Amino acid sequence: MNPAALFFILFVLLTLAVTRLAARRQGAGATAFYSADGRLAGWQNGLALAGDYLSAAAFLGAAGLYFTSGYDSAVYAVGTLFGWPLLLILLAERLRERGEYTLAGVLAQRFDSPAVRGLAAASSLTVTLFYLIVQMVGAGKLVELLFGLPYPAAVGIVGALMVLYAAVGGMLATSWVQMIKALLLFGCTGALAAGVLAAHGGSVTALFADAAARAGHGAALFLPSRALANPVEVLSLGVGLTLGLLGLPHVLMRFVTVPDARAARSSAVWATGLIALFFVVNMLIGFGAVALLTPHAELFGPAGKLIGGSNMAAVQLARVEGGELAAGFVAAVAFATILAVVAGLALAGASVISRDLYAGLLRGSSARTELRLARGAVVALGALAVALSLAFRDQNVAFLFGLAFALAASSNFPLLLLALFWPKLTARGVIAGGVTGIVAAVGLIVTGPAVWVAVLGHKAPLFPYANPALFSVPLAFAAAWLGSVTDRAARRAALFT
Amino acid sequence: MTRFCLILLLALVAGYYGVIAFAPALLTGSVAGWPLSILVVLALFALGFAITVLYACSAAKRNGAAR
Repeated sequence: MNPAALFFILFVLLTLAVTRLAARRQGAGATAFYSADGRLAGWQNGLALAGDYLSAAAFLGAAGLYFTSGYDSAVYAVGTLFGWPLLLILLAERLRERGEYTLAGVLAQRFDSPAVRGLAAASSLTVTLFYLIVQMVGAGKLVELLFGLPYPAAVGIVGALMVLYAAVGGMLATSWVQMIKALLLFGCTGALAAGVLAAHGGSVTALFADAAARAGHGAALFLPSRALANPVEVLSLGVGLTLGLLGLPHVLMRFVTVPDARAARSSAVWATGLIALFFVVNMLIGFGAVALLTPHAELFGPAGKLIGGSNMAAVQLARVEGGELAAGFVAAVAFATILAVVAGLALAGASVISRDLYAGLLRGSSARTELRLARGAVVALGALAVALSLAFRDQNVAFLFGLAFALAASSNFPLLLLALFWPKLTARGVIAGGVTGIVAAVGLIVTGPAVWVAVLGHKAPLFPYANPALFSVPLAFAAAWLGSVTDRAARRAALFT
Repeated sequence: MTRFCLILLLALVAGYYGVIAFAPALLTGSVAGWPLSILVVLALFALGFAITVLYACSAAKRNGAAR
């Protein structure tokens, strides 16, 4: 049997056993289903947060970016990492204190408005669905490449496992799956990095010198590439990467899985430390791939490209270091990584559907009905994600990832921040800010190079930058402010209270 | 402490992306065989984590005093 398939089957069996156990231990009701009863310790939630956040893109994609573009990958990592301390300082403990795990829930504590709830739910659901499609399409292609399974079967397996973890075991099982995945990921990347260092006599400086020599352009490997030559694009990328994290529904909802604000802070500290450590280790893997793969001509196709694409750099590195068994293990961990992320996304999406839309907006319901609906929502979301992944099979879906991050930074984050810190925010301000953030993020991405040129085939973009956050985030804040300060109805109401 | 940590974080991340955007040449060179650009990134990772720990500790003390 293919070693990758063997390792993957072992992972699936282990996580399904964990899911069964979690389903037995899970408390009754939808809140327990979504929050794991608030029973996780800070370190457990930190590990699960790392498992939830570190997707295949953060592992295979980032290592591949080091391989093709050198230092650019580190530029992405800095913005991503700095989102975590900001998340801690601005949101984590406040979300835990409020006990709300969706954007609509936080806003509903201040504004009794169906329009506000509907807008927040729509924004969160869109972010989650786009993120989910990117992960599913990536998983399908990865499994097709690694295991030789047809794409529809691969997507179907990912969808079915995602639904099993999330619908049967809820947040408790999903958290455990994410913790197991994080441990596997750290073990796997740690071993790969150790192999890279061992090949260079344990010397990091020898690795850097070797990588620079092999890359063909010397020390330029450690400087930003031409892709980061436009200052506005770089600043916009930084804003989007840093603030996008603060609006991701599947990350935010994890802060109610711990018992109190102290544990929420502890979670964020653990997650920040683990993710920083992962980025350092992945940097060694990326530059190690440059140094160790380049001499192996058999790993490259006729056009000089790495077989399977640059995203396979870490897998090919494992093959060079430890043969088929090691490559199979890395491939299986990459697949496990995707499963853990999509399970978290499915729960986040289901919470919006069952709690924000059904229970909060359409009609009130009993806890039992809400739980049944939560499970049904996971199944429906899984089916929708599989269907959309099949439809998007041959599309370039990278823009959806950018769109999810841009929407999270431009709509969810401003609304959440203002709702928590600005007493003068009104429902009208929420609508104005949310709509402006969504329209600006979607409009600027669609008219930008990622969609207007790469997908729609036009010669030049209407909006010149691939990252809209530098423009869309301030626009959303400005609209929320303007909508609030010009809200005469709210001012009149304040006078009489 | 909250404001200090927040300002420090924003200054660090804005400074880094400012350098990448407007003066990437500042990252050229090496220190003891380590590329300067890599050292900067590692220092930022360490500072980001240190600020996280600092804030969490100060918040724990603040909450303890409030009780």
